[in-house]
Amino acid sequence: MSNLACRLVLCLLACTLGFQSAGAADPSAENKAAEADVDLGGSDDWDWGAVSAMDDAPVIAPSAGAGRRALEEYVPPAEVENALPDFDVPPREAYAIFDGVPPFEVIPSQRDPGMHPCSNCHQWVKSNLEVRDLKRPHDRFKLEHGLHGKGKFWCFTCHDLEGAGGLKTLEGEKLEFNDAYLLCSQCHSRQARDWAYGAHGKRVSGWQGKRQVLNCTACHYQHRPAFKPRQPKPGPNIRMGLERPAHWVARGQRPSPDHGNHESWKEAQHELEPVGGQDAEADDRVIPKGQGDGERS
Amino acid sequence: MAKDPDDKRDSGLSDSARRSFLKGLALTGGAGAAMAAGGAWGGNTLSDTFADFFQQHYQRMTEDEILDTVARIERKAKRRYGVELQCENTPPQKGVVFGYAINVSKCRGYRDCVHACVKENNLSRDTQYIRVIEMDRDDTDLHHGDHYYDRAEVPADGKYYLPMQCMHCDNPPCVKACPVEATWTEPDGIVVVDYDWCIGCRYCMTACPYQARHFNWGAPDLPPEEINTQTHYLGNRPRPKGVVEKCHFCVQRTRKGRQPACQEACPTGARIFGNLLDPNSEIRYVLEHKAVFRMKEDLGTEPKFWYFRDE
Repeated sequence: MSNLACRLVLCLLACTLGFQSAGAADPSAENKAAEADVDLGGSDDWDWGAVSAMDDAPVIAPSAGAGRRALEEYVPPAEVENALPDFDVPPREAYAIFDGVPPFEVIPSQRDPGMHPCSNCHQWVKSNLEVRDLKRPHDRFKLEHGLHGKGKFWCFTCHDLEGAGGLKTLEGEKLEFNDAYLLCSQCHSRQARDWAYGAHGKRVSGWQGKRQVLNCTACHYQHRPAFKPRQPKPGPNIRMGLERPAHWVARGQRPSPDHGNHESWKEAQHELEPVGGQDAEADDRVIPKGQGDGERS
Repeated sequence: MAKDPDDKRDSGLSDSARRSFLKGLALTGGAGAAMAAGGAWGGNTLSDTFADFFQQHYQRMTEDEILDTVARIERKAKRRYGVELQCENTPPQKGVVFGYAINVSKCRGYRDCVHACVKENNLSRDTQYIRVIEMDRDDTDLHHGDHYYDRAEVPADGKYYLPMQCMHCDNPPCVKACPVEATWTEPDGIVVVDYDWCIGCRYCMTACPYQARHFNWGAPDLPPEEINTQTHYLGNRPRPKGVVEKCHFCVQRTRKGRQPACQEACPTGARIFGNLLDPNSEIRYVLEHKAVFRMKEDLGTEPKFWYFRDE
């Protein structure tokens, strides 16, 4: 039965292959199809006749060929399908200190905005304003912030301990924790500028639609803002035949025999050779000193 | 690409004749499959095997043919991996050309993007689209870079990290090299591959100066429970054996306004993606205000992929 089915299939394949090649043999139809396929928009305004008429000037064809697209003004579609989550944060129309910042929403912190643990105690206990090494119970707030401001930089530079607690600017304006970027931008103005326009930080959810960006403290832990080094995720598989020998040296760092490094280069080669273990056999292969570079002496 | 139903491009034979012929084949095939043993067509039904064989180039398919093809891809995935896949055909948005910028000062070589990409795009677990190259400071020669680096901690002293992937060139040498036009530039600037039209000659891999293309030497090794079921015909649908694939700017996400998976995964915010035609986009700000460079710019490939650093 399967034999019969195979024959039937082969027969059908043969006849349809003929059918396909007959279709592909008509070059004009192919060309027509190819022309119609290039639909990049705005191709009409490129005058190829005028270009070929300029015989004396060297002509550099546009990179996208005949279907060069015009740089048209972009109008975002009214409805974007990407179902952005709603954070109930009023979008800021502008970031006052920079011109023409596109409107953005800052993703609020996941923590309860009403929870200010400092004030849990410090509404009863008077704060010690002295700059000192923090002991318990404050040792978890070890401040590793500010390379240049060590010692001058203290809890109350940013924290407001009056009332319910929270943040305050250097001028004393009170801020919510979700407005931390206004606090950070007092010193980090360059980063703040880049962040406001989108060259620093991260836009989440989508490149289109509402511009939702992460707050500074979403990525930088405020008391130790530098990123910690960590282990990278695994890299690509090394293809067969490209495995690195045990004493691999990057190409740029290999000692070159042409630059007077003869001795060390030979030593490096000797180090490479005993792969299986350093026994008598491997030792035999080491060229005795003075024999290999006799021409130099 | 959205197809106009009136825009039928025949290649010699009339379309209706061809379609009825195919329908006849499918009926015969169905009968044959019922008789034949289960795995005779590689886990496929005979009708689907025939339809696969006669499948047109993506750009030449009519809307109906695309829908048939996409449904067939979903059926095949169900048979092969046992997952309910959703294969889409989202057309490009008008007035959008995608571009990418990477802040080299911020990249710390964690390779989070690499693995987010592997998961999102249903890559065979031995393939990675993104290569993060570890470079010596004061050195820009890519030959001295190492993308196999494996350390206890990154960033290492005296090194910087340079992620590379498909640059989606505006003048792509891979597209010119393809003998069967299985790869082309979409109107939104994404260089895509029709995996079903690719013949696996790998000319494009040789032509690409960024080594961005990867070849499926075997059937992709994909754990079924990790398959991303939101797929696109030109993007992350499961690929067959013996075809070339590469980064497609997460076409299944970005055409719906979402960020690509690598941007979403980056823990340092080094990656900036957006519409080059939108003057208010982040990427336009970077291009206009930062000192950007492109990889191997002297080759004239016009990559839509820039690198910059904090001043």
